[in-house]
Amino acid sequence: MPDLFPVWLSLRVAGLATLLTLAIGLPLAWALARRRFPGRDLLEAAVVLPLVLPPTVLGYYLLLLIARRGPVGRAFDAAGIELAFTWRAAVLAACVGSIALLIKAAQAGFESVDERLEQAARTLGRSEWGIFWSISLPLAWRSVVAGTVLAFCRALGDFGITLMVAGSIPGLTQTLPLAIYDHVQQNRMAEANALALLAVAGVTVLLMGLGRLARLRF
Amino acid sequence: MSAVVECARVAVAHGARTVLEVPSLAVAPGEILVVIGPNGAGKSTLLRVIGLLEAPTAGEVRFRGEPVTPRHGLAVRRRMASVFQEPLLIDASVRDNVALGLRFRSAEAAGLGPRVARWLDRFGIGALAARRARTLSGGEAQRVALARALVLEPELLLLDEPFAALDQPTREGLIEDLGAILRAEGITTVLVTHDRGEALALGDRVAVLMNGRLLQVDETAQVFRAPASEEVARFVGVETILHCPVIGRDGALSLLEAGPGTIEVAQPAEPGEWVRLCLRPEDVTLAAGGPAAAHSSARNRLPGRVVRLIPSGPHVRVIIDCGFPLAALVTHRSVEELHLAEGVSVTAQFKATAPHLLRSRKA
Repeated sequence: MPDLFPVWLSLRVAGLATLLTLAIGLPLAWALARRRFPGRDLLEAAVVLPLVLPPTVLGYYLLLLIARRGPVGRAFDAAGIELAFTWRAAVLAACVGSIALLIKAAQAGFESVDERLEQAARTLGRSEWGIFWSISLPLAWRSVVAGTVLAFCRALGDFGITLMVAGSIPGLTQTLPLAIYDHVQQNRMAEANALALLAVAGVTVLLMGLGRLARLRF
Repeated sequence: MSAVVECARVAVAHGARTVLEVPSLAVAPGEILVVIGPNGAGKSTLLRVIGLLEAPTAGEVRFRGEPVTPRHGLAVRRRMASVFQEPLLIDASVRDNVALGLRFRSAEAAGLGPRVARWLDRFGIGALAARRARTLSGGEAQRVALARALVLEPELLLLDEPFAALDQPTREGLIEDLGAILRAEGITTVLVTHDRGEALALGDRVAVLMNGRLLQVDETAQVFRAPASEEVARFVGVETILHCPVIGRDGALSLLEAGPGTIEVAQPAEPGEWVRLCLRPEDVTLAAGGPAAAHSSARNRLPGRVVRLIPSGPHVRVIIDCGFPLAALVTHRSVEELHLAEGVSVTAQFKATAPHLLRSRKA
């Protein structure tokens, strides 16, 4: 029986990363779908970068940011919070790796909302905030949920970025994919096998749920 | 009186293309301004700019004298209301739909009932209050959308082709009711439409917009009687436009050479000048046979031959060759009585006050 700590850690990291992804990704997706602003094309390209860049490159830059001397790391360090090589770094890594999936899905969802409905609400005196919560998000929710599930699965599976910024410290930052790698390196195939099966089964169930969701009609 | 809303040097560009250019346009309190123009002229863009849904690329919109932008527009937008071609109702009861804008303003729930009921009654849909919006006919739904806008007691009402999707009888009934309500309440309104009939029915003033430019802004009758250019003339229903020279003057009358004959027009023009004569088909009457047979007080009697008969709703459009093509609009009954058919000789008659002259140089 393998140590299940990496499973719980991965679930916790992926869960927190998904929340963070939603908090950052939804406003970005909405802005990309509905607003014209300088630098919009650059942002749209930048959003997809994490999908195509080598994880080591992403990890390298993320590490520069959150290292104790890095611009972000310093601020957190001043507040007494350590980022690099902690589970927090793993959350950031998972977020960077998965946010593009949420943004692209949610952006498509927001774009598919009939703009006239938002305009009608606007002419009736609804605030932009109110329009987002009562029209845009409810009508785009299917895409948003799909993007969220994909992002969560991707966050669960992150390997390279996590290894770069959080390391693979057993009992601290060793997530499920890292634990599997570790087991294989040490030729503990039974444990590797068990964790790998668990990962495949869990993600399969999630994606099946997503498939069902896509067929739901209201 | 200062304007409710004003556009000053407004321009809207989509990419490299300028879709709207309005140096100045003001809507006075209580007036109904109808913006007419063909599809793609920029009418809806103009309305979106006025309604603070789209920021102009250049220039500014002033509401009650204050410059406003969409970014900080919520407070001002709440003093306006809009209705579009589609009613865009929510899936709820008629009553809830009409109360929607008031709810967005977090109005006191207690006072809503009577206000909503009053506007439902004014649009003749009081009996539908409890019906679900999705079960309504197109005309009923558009009445709900109008009630939803007017219950807000807007200082400015913006209407974007609100009748375009309705069938003819429904449309006419709604135009009549809406016109009566707007006038009774003195609601400042901007209506955008491609239908010149709606402009005639509702407009105090008409603005003609083509290719993003205002070609004429004037009192409704003036735009239809004295269009400012050939483009405007064609759009407001002038069918005969004739380029011809002025050959003489007789007091207030100008004498024009038109094909083989002459036309007298009660509008000054200089002899020798070339003008464009604009004549609406409904101002032309027809008599059977040659000019001698015609009994009429009309100054102009032109002999001609019927070239084509084109049925056009309750009327028939008759194209006559008088040495130049001339269009007349007559009833089906007249067609029968005058035995009109291709090749038949007729006399086209119209008063000297009927045509409008477009002069290339203003005298």
